[in-house]
Amino acid sequence: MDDDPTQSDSQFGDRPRLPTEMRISEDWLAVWCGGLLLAVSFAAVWWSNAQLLSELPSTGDAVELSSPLEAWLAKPGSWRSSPLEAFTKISSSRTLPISTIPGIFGAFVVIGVLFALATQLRGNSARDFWIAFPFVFLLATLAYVMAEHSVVAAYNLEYALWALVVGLLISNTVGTPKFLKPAVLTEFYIKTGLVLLGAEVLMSRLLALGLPGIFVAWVVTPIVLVSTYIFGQKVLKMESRSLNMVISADMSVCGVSAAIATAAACRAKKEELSLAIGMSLTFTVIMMVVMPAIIKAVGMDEILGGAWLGGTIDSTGAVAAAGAALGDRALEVAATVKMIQNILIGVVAFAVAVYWVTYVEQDPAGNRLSKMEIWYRFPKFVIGFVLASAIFSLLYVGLNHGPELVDATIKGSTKTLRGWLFCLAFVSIGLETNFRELRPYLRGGKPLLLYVCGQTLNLSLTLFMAWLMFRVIFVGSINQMVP
Amino acid sequence: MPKQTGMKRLMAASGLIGFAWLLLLPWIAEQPGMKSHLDWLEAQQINPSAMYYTELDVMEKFHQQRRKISH
Repeated sequence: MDDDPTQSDSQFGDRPRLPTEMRISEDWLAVWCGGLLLAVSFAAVWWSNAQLLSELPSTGDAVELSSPLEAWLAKPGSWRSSPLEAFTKISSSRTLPISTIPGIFGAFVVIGVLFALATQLRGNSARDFWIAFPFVFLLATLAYVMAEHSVVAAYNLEYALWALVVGLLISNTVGTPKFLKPAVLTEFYIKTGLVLLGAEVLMSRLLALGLPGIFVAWVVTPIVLVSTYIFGQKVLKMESRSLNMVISADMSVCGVSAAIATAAACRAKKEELSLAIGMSLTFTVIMMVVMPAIIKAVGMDEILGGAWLGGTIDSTGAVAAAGAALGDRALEVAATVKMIQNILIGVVAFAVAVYWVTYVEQDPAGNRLSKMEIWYRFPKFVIGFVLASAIFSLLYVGLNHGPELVDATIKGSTKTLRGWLFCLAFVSIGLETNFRELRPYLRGGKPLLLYVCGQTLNLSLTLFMAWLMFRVIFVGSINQMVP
Repeated sequence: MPKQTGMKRLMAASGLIGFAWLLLLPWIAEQPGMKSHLDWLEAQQINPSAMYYTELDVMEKFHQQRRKISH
């Protein structure tokens, strides 16, 4: 995450002018690639449904819109007895299973063409990229197939973990072949994926549970994040600020997606991101099994239990599984609180990026950076991430049938492409990492201690706030909202 | 690491992965307790490995309920 040449060169002068930087820097190219994918995806939904939308009244019942790109972009699906099942899916409109292979090939072509062009623009060989990319994509497909086994998925062992494992396996046995390097573009995949994720950060969904949801997800979470970070710096004296920040964010916000966003915003090392994700997934598995059992054992109210789960378990899917174990109302509250917390990652990524370039990074003489230097060092893809969120939030509320248009865009194409980009990023991290590089981070057990202390604070504060908001102050409105 | 040792390790690890994903996990998925848990998750439209809320099919139901209420 910290090896973008356009960034590291900055402290030594010889900076490209802004127009040149916007054309060749990885951050700006991620913004253009992400922006282009979002624009094309939205336009495809808009034009293919234009006739239907013009005939519909501006208000009324929701309509089901779809994206014409949906059939051409896919990932391996869930399977139980044979991995071949991952390459077929049952469509709701058809009785026979349909193949996902054309969709997987479509994602390969779209990402391959776009990234080959970007590679060329950066002055590297697009031919070398095309030689390497099919192999890296194949490894990502293998990781997806491993992650999609229903037992593996049931325990929240996400594709990020298996993508890392697949990459690590190669780099730590036979070594990563040189010819693969041109397609091992960790930061570029992550930054482009984050711009696409921006479109899923819809601000209008913030008020899904009214004020109680805001208090649990948007008041407690930043308090826990900042307190854990300060605890890591002042008490544990963590050697790496960026590792401290990534662990604090993934523990307090929403696991892997928050870890990816903050790691990119503070330019954490790839080993730090791997470690933070490994810890988050381990604790998520434990918490998704133990917490519902505790809630049932103490006879806690279903809604309070749901809000507690939603505010504390890192991963979104695990929150839903744990909430459903308590009941339908707990599922609804837990998943909605988590969704509101998910939306916080836009603000967190932006705030971390600003804090990092303003207060953490200094020039070689140890002085604070000038305004121009701050602008130069600011990770520009964060601008794309925030802009995508703002634009899609506006489209969602401002357009006739905006929710359906935006949902169809995300569901039909951008979500799939974002998943592939993150999967490719984690395969790349694995291919670039040696197990020995992870060892120093585990010494002394500080990261583990940080996570445990932060999560203890999170569990206590969230429970108190959830009780106060959902069961004392807004009990009437919540009971009406979740009957 | 000598190339041959590396290749042997890669083969061993691949064998282990193959055994786990092709034999062990499908067998676990068919055990009655696990099978009913997986069927229940599927019926609830919950993907426990969802990274973001947009990957959870069950959210669609909640969004639609809220849209109906707001209309």
